[in-house]
Amino acid sequence: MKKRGGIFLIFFLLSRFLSAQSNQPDHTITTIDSEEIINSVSIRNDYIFSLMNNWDRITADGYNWQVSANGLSSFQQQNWLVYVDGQRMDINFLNSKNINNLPVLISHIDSVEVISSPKIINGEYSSDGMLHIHSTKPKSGFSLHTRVATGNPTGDPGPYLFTETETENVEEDGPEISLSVEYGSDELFGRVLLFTETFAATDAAIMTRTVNIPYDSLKIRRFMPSLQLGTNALNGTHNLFVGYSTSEEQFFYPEKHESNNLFYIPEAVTDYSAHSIFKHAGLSGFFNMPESIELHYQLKASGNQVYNPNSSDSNYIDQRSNNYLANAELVFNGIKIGSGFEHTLLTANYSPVETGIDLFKLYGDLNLKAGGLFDFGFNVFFVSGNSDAGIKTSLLSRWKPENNFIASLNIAYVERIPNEESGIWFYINNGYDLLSILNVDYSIDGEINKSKKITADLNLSYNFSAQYEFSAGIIYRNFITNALEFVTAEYLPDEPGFNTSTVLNTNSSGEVAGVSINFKNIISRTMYHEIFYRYQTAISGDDFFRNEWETIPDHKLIYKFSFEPFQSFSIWTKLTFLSSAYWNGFTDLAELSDGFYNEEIKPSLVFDLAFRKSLWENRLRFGLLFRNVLNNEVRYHPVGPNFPLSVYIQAELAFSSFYEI
Amino acid sequence: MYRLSLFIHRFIKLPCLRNLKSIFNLTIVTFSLITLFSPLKAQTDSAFTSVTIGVDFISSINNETLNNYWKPQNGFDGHFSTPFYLGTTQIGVIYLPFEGKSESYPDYDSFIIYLQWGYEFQLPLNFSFSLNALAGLNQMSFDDTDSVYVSPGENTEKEFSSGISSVLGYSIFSGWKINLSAAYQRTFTDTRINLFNISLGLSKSFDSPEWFKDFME
Repeated sequence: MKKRGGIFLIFFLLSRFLSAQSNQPDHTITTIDSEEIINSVSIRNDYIFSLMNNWDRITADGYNWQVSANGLSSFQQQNWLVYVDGQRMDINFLNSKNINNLPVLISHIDSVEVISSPKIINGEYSSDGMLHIHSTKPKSGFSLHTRVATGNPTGDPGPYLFTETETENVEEDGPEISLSVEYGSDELFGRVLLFTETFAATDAAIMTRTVNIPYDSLKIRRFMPSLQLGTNALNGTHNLFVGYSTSEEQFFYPEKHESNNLFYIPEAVTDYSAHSIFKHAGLSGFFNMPESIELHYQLKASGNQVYNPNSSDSNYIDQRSNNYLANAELVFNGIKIGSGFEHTLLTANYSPVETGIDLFKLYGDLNLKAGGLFDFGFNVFFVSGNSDAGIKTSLLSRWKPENNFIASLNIAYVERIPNEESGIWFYINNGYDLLSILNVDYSIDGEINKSKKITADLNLSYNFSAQYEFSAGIIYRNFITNALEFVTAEYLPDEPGFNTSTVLNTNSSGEVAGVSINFKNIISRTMYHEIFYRYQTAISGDDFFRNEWETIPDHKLIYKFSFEPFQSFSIWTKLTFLSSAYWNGFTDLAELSDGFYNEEIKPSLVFDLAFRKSLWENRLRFGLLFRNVLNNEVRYHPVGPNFPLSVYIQAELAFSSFYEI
Repeated sequence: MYRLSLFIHRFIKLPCLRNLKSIFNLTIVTFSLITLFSPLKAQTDSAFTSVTIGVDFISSINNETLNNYWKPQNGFDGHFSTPFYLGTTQIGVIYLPFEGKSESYPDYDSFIIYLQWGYEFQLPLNFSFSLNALAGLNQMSFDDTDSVYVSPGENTEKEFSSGISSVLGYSIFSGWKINLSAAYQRTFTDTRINLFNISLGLSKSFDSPEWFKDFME
């Protein structure tokens, strides 16, 4: 403990003697702006993932997505973080971390900061990646916004329903309906949002693995109201966010269903039909203090609950988690020093015990300019709790020999203690044996300890001119030790269903390396196109490690073209190629299921095309999105849905004052 | 090296790449977008300056799988169009009834609500010729089907539909025009519905009012 205290003393002393601070652009952060979100006609929050070149994603149901942020983790560990206006949103349920559960409307997103390498930001260490959503600030005065969006995946039976060639019905995707009232002024701004979202997980691949769940319970229905208030006062900016996201019975859907939400349980290769509730109340902001010192703070309380209202079931679960977090940091002269505390309370209907988990965090971040060409950043993040402790640290160096060329290298060492994790194994490690309740066969090989990894990110960017931008990156990840599960799933054609067994290897290790290039050509003020290629693969590791990383495609190629000739009209296209992926646990799946499922995810080529037109001086906005225009087979998971040619339409009505209504 | 050769091998065997039709479609779409919309600025002055209302009498003339079960009847296409930044944009509704060939196949009405974009070429002697692409939603409303549907009481199916058409027009006088068109329309049901329609109709063009131009811009 003395050693760690010494590190912070050094930070303090440096802060007294060094006044230079880095002003270089931070290449560890990329930004998705509202223009791209609007022009791509992004319907739901998860569409953001499709705009992030170096993050990979999979889904087993089309609504819950798992991501791997720039190779910082595999799909198993969903420890990436999501923030909204400076507040951490803990949207974890069981194994799921679903961005669609956020009570935030995609139309209200001003920008998304994508942090794809380890660093200290918002009082956390982004060891597995981070998204920071910044919402739009309401315009001056009162305004009103309403939106309807719906999609139609193709492949309905149509009139052939009455013939011998009858096929399964394909449900519409949506609708999404929202209404918000906003107020803005220099001192005060706020927004009240009412938002409902529906999704039908009724693809044949899902229905076959969930034969015991009624058809209507395969539809996800959420109601997500929220209140945002902000003020520029007390020499700073302060944001209050109160949000609620529920799948419980809603007045929009008076018909009573068994549940309105699904959770895919990979250890059972089936879904758990349940309700889920997410509650969040938080305050964040900063104060400007004398001598250019800023005090940043975050206070939040949130709660998550998953329960199956069908209480007669033997596998009834009512799992709750409440989290309370406080964080403060001082920022001055390129130096950041902060401390945080959080308490998580776990309860479950099947356990008499309440478990309290405390985490204490202390961190420092130092940025120095050395001459005109170099600058350096060094940070240390210390976390302790429940008799365990971990340290995370990184060294960032940047070299800028010319105005149009920057090279940066970020090397990090990361320890994560078990109570920083999330997911099923986090609950089991704390005495909540969810898998046994769900009658899943599993074993743990060893003891769950803290995970350790070393990461390195080398990024180069070169602007040939104002029209041509080039960047390249090399990543290296050494997972010294981490817990990885391997699920063996045998398809039972007569049931149908799967016979599974799961082993958790608590000491898995391996290395991943990758290279990426990106070239952007701004053809004119209204037109650009961009090409991105990434190759990433496991270069060493045990079987658990290699099997897990084979689920992520090695090759990824993306081409984007955007044309916005007028403020009121745009065309946006994207072509994505993904190479194959392989799920070794699904032994002989294609053979046993007669080709219905496949353990190999075939390479895919997807072409998306979006049009946007606004009318009535931007009060009425229409978006039309064609996804998978070529209608190729696109899957992300061996037992997941196909994404056929689908057409989405979005209509928004926005009045910038009540006088316009 | 082995991984590279494996990748090349897999890439070449990629089902979507083997499908030359997909590549062809993609090439057409991409180049159409780039070439058609590049000279857009020059066209903007005429955008939304006029409106055209028309109605066409439609007859479906092809013979495909659907015709084994249903016989298409004659229908109508009501539409409204205006010059866009480039070409012309149109919204409309196509109504086509289908009669079942036996009691097992209920009669149904097809309503295709569509959005169309096209480009018109002026020809000599008051003739014009246009090529168009459309996308829309085909709503099929069936008779007496309560016992068949998953959700009782619902007797409709909706599916995405797209098509291309060519129209030969002849201006008569004062904005009136006679239109003869041929259209290919595909509805993306699991077993596709491909219709080839011919139509004859009448349309009338007006100068658009200022409020309409303001609204559309």
